Amino acid sequence: MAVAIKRKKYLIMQETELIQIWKTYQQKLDASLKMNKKCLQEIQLMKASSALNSVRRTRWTGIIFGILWLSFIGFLIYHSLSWSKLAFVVSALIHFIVSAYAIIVYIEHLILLNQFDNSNTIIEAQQKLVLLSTSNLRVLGILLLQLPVFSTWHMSAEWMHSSPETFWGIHVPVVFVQACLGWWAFRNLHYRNHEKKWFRWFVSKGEFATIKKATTILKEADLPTLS
Amino acid sequence: MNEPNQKQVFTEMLESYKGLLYKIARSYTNSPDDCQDLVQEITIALWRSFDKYDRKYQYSTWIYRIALNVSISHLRKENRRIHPTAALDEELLLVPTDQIATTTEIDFLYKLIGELNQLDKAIILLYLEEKPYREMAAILGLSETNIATKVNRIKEKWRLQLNAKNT
Repeated sequence: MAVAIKRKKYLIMQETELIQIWKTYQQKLDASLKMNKKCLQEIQLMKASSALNSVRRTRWTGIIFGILWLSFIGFLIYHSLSWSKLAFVVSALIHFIVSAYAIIVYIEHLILLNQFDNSNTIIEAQQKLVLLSTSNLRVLGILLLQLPVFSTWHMSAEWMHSSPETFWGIHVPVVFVQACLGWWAFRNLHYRNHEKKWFRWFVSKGEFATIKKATTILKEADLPTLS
Repeated sequence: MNEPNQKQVFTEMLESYKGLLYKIARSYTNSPDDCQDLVQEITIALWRSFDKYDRKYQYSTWIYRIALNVSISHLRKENRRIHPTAALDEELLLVPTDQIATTTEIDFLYKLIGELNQLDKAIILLYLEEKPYREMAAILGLSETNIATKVNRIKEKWRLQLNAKNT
């Protein structure tokens, strides 16, 4: 009888051990899968960050040359403050304001890219890419909105009186077309148009393509894997 | 449920149960490559039947049912190739080749499981997961008595093997 009980206890022990081994294995498996996923996400984050290097370079170049350009425009405005050069001063001032705004946005982009590198999760990183992409589109729209100033800066009352045909017949319509194009770009360069063919073509080029590439890399990291 | 939502729910479900898929696949294969193939095949099968998933069952019951069926039929087929469905991105099936750390004990347990026939493997996997006989019967489509008998036979077989190993 005692031998039978001992044998039964032994059998139960063996069974319990096997189940325990299986459970421990499950825990190790979960931990391992979690760790591997984390590693994969970090690698993908680094790859995405590296893919954005060209955007970083463009921003730095934009900021440095932008500041130099702004100084030059500021200098010209300062030395042109007179009623006779009203068209130039107003055009240059609008250009100055828009360029200054673009530089501020570019600085924000650099901060965003820096925060992207320090993202703790893939979702956080993805959110930053969406912000970057949206803001990029916005600043582009605003830059295009100032299109007419590139034609208005050399307008003058003398020109209007001395050659009204070229002024009213050619120059003013050109300014008008530029204004319409600028306004159209400002209104339509928006992700609400994401289903339109021209928009998809537009965002498949240049920096937008780079940002999209980084987004795709992050998407891969967010997929379930058995690593 | 629209497709993006469905994909999202499926992805989250898969994320929670990927350990389970790995355990089942490893029991039915002999090499890491085969294991990955099988996991992919199970994933595709789960996705294909996801819209028919009956919510009265737990996810784990549904996954076991499909995963074990796919694993058993996987062994019967040779030179299988994976053809992902159009609806399911190929990326979703990515299975990196990294190995999961194992111990001697678990390798031995897998060796014991590996020596069983296909149905017994399924039964013992469920037994090790401490599934009640009723659920095991529902997953495998067998009677509870049949399951109990088979479990006892496997345990007896293993007992002899363990004793032989210990002596």
